Amino acid sequence: MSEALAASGAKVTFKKETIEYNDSVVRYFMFASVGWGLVGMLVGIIAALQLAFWQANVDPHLAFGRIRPLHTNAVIFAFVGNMVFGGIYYSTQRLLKARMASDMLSKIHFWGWQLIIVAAAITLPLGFTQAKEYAELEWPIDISIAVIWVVFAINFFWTLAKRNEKHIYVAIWFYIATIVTVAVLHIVNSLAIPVFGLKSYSIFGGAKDALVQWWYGHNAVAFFLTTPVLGIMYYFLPKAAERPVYSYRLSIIHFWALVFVYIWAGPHHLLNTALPEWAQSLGMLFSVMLWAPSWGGMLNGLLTLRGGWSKVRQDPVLKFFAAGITFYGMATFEGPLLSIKSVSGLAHYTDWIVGHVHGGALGWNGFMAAGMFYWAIPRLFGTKLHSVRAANTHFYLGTFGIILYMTSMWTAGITQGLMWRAVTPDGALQYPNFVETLDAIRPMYWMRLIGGLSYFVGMVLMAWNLVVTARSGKAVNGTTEVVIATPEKNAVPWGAIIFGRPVLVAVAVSVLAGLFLVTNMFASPFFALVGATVGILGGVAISAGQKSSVGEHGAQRPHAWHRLLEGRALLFTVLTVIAVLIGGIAELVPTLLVAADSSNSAQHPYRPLELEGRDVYIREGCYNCHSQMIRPFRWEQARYGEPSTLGESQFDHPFQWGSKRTGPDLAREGGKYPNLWHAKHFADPRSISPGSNMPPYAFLADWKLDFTKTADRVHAMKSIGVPYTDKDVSTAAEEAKAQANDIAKDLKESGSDVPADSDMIALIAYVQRIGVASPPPKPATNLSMAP
Amino acid sequence: MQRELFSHSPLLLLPIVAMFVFLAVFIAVLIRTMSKRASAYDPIAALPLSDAMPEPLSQETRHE
Repeated sequence: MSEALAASGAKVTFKKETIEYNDSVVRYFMFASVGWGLVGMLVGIIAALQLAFWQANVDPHLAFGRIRPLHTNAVIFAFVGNMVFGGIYYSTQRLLKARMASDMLSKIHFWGWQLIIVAAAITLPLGFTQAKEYAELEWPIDISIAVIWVVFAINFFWTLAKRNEKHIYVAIWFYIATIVTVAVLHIVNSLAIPVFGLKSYSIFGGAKDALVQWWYGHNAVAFFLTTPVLGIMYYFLPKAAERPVYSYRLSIIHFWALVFVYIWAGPHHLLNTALPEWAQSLGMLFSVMLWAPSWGGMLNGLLTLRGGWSKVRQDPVLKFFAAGITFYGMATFEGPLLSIKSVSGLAHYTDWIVGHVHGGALGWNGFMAAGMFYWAIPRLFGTKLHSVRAANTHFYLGTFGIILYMTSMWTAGITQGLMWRAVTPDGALQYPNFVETLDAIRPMYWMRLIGGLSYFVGMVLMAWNLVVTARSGKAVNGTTEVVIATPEKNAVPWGAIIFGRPVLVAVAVSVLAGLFLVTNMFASPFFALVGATVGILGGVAISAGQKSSVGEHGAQRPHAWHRLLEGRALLFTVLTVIAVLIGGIAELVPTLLVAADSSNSAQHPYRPLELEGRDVYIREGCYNCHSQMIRPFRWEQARYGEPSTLGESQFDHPFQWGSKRTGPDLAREGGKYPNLWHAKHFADPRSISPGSNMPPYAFLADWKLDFTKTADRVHAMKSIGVPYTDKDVSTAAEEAKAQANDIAKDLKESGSDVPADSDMIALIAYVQRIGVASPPPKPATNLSMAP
Repeated sequence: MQRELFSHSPLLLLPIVAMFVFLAVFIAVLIRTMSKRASAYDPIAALPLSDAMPEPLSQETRHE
């Protein structure tokens, strides 16, 4: 470019600058990731033990329902989050040839994020939760996350603006997509009305909340666990392999296809539920389409190692990368497979899904993190890795652990899924007792625990190896030299980008496609024909334009469209936002509006005590093991009752459809058993249901209900559209006490003494109301019914 | 009622139009990218490997 500037005759001044990168923040993030990774995985091991051995639920605050969210949040946001930030800070500075714009913002980002993690580690065991998977943290922490994310975004885009490298390498595109999309997802999904202190209700309810939650949940996987790690792959893999990425063209296709397709796939978490059929089909279609870009990216990564496989045998870094990318390929093959409606019918709510996500988390995220740490930490401390042998041992322990984990969960999931649907020749359920299906997979729970332990030991080995490596060296910051030239004028016109041929052709085809859809049967074929013609001719014109921009001897003329785009960070960011939002808006808006019209007028809001009980249910994390969504399958109907409808959960803020059945579905639990059954079951699940792995909740009979806050809960629900009257709010406490006294009296008459002002009474009130329109049911009397 | 509502709702066009926009843009990006010789991207692909001095830039580009 300098030659071009000089040749143009413009007056050019050159200035040489030495830049020292801020690698201090990289070291902080990487070691924080290792530390939190150990904590998060240790909690995972405890949770796995609790599922196999219920006695491991030693304390109410550390029961499975409370620590499972702690495990997922720690691994996703603390382990992978810190790893991603470390990787982004390291690679961004080098790819842009610029130090991070603000050391202060970098520090605020690091310490703010660690504070959020600590807040999560304290509040989740204490039962402060929004009950939305991977978004459990309560509203003040949610606001802190948004603020810290904005700090990160400002620092990143500021650095992008002051960069000394014109072209934006593909890794940076993935980081941009991550930053803007996570911001949108987090803000929309966290919209809630505070009730008091650390309690809030989602402003969305029922099906609307389900759709928003899984739009978020799926894309948290996509844009927090995948796109930034793909960016890390595109930077660190060529570095470690000492060769450029196999196909840069494929990386462009990979990026655009992924950001367009991913955002649509959320409803595959809600297949066969009460969600509108078209939204389910759309989610399934786009999930299957994801196969192509995901495998494009995987192949691009693996083929980067072509001709260098001998190095993979010797270098633990490449071993981890090669295996990590292979696990990415496996997980992204399995994901679309599980999104096919019939496969989902078998796999959903089972441990197959747990095996699937751990293949991604341990294999893809964990191994990519390990590869990056083993490569970067020695360089960040100006030394060599302390023990290559220990790193290789970590690799084999980790691989063994993942394989054991995945195979045990596949086996457990498929076994239990088949048992749930098995019927006798006369059409009755072959395994009517849910515990029978749990007993069958219990050995797999132990096997999973061994797999997790093996992986954890590998992580401990890595932590030791990295700490010793760091202590053997001295922290060093990377440097680079840049030469800056001042030209006569802006060489890149905006018009050439905005009115470029690809954009014009896309707009024309879109308009014609819209006309095809909205016009009548005579005009539609015409517009279809014109649209197809414009598309084909436009494609040819773009291609011809491309050829004409290549001069003699392959020399590039300026202003080739995508090259211009790569140089314009702001425009590129806007286009990325449009790409990721287009699917979200198109999918969410119709469902949100139509779901509002499908409410059931026969449904009445929860009575105040039931609302209190629902909050106990949420606090204890019951949704982690119990769904409230009966799918329209005959075997499911035979086990649980009529399929769930949209109207039934319309007042559920947040929705409680769940995603896993470690215990049975509860959508029609109300009125099924007497109050005494529930009181005994909560106190000692095995006294009613031998073989159950549910934690005991006897302590709920001792924990006092605070009736002074009942009115606040009812008022908050009223403010988000649940049809309570002012009188309902003002009499909430009295009404709750009256219902509590009725239930306590009923229990006393049955021989069980539970205080009326206890959490257990409220929980019984709620459970007896689930799936019942109104009013609360009269308790049944048969205690001998199977669970 | 829900089925009735969906069959008449103009909102249903939104995801279908959005899908067409996605397909159109994707095809344009695909044609545009693949019609270019792979070697044209070599300098960008080599960015992670270049710890050497980068080519000088204009001040204009530097301070977007």
